[in-house]
Amino acid sequence: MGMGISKLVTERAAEFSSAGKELPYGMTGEDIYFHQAEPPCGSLEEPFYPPFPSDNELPELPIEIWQRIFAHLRRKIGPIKSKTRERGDYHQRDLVNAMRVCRKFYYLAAPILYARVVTDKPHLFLMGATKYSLARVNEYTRWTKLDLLQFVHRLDLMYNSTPTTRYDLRFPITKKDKAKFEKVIFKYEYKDCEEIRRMIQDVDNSQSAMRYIHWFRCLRRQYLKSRTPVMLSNLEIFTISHPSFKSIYQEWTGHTHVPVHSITAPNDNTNWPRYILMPDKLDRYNHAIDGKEPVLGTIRVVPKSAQFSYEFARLAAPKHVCMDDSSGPYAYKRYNGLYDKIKLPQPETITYHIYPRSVERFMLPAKPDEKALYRWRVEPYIFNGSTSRWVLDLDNWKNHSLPRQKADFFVWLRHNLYEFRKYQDSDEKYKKRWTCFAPSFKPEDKTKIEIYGVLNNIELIDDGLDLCASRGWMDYDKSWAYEQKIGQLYAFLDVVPGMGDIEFMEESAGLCPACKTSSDQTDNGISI
Amino acid sequence: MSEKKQSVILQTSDDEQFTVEKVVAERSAMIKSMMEDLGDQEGQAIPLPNVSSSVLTKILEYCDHHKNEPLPAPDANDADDSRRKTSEIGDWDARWIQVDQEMLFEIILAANYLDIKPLLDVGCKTVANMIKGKTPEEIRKLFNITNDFTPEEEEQIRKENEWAEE
Repeated sequence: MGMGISKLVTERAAEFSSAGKELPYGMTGEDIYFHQAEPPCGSLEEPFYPPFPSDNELPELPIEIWQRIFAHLRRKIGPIKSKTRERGDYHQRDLVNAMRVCRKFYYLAAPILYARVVTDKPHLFLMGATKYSLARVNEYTRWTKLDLLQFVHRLDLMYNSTPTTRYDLRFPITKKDKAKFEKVIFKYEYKDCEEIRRMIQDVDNSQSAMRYIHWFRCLRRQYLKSRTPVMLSNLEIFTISHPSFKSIYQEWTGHTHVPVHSITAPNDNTNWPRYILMPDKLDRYNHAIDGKEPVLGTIRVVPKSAQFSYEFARLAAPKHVCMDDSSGPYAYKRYNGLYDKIKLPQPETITYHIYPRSVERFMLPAKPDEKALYRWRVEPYIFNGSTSRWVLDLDNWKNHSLPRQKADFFVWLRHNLYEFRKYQDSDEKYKKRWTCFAPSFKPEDKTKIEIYGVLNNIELIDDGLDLCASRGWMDYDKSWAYEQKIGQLYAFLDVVPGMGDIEFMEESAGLCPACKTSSDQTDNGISI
Repeated sequence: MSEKKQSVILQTSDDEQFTVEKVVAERSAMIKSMMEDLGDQEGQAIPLPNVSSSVLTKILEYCDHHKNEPLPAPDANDADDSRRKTSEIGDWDARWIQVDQEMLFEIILAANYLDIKPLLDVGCKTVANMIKGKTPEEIRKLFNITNDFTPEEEEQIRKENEWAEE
């Protein structure tokens, strides 16, 4: 018995999306963005009437007014990267409570709740998605989870860690696995460090996530047949990020041993390293599904956040993507042809937030006594026909970065721009290896790179290029005039201003088309 | 312009007539367009068959207080309307709308009928505030709603949406 969604659900979903219903009645773009922003498609003029009749009369007010009221129940959620946030800031308890009151409230409030989803627990968010996906849908008189997912207009997938210890290894795991796992994880001197916690939670989450992965893959087959999203078909905006919650880290600062190779406290650094688990080493992942090789074998180098973001990205076709990690589906460079067969629909813009951490990555030493750190450059993935926005967040680069990282950034940038040009000059065959040709791709769509937050950050240029100069890469003098400095920067990067598809933007990034965070709007005033 | 042109007569469902300053009546997009339709026919009352005199009195109080504020653009959709940018209800509005539930609902219905968007919003926000922080059972009690979910169904909904609760 397959686990694909039933025909009925697909039809119902298609009907909903073909009606062009974007945001529920009474909701505006502001409810989605919090900031002043144009709604992508305007708000619905017609309220969404419940599909199933109910005899329960609502008190006195007509349906569209109740829906308006529920739109006000939605707590507005601003930029998710704000460091002033508490974990609980993302809840929408009032809407959920309203949904539980009666059937009519449920029908009216659900589309509002699902219009924007902010979650760091994708497995919870998907709860029930597979349950009613079989023929039972006929007897189902509420929205199925799949119906609800069709309402999602914006999905903010967060990756977050809560402090964990070895005693939190509660997930079902064989004794053999547990021993093996503990041996791998807890052999380090700093057992309580942030990385370990993240790793443990990764495993915990990926356990819950496992059951969905296979199901996702079945949906994928359907997607490939029709080339139209079968799930989350109204998803416009997709962000993948790592919020900083003040309380968690503050509480734990006293106990957190900052590992030797860390540069700053986790709070300073939004892009705190995340490690990648290789669960195929564990017993329970070594069984075949559908007679095929263990599916997890192929995702062993994708962390939990990317697993889900990857699966979401493959099933939906978001227009704007925002991420601050280099391992997500839109930034992931395919190694060894692992993802060769996957063609993601091409978004209009991909914003990639670059933190001091992004320009270099570390791995834990292979042996506990080994001091050497493995480090490799990150190469953002370039989509044919999309605009890539590489955004430097001013606060991080001004206050939480070392000169070495600043120099690293320019070397990183030089390398990636070189690769981009190489790719542009190359023939089609080579290009194909480099990027995804999405079915939606048209040759007239221009592939562009926009870089924000460099020209207006003179300290970054001074510190970075000065260090580059001292390493013999170039000439640089801090006493030069601004124009001369910029000239030297362009020369170093081999960029001709105003020419080609690489553009340095004068201002800081304005609002990101996806997450609507401005690069200079981080909370400068918050000290840790 | 004559003195007379500055006012308009409104007739409620219970056949009471109100002579209202034009700027006040104009807060209602519906009355405004009716006045434009009526043109020069002075002295003709505008019938408001869906609004009772007690509700209209209350609403005119609101309109009078806000008469000097700029009108929202006639066909502005919700998005470019600045009034929605703040989720708070103004001090005066909050005091003004302290009425019983029946009156509150009637104000909302009348605001909807008369097409006074800012007032409709104040009303909806007030009801939303009444719901906030309450359990489903408390909400049912508040609005006298019968629960048509089975306990299993309600639990299922809670579970399916648990992601939004933390």
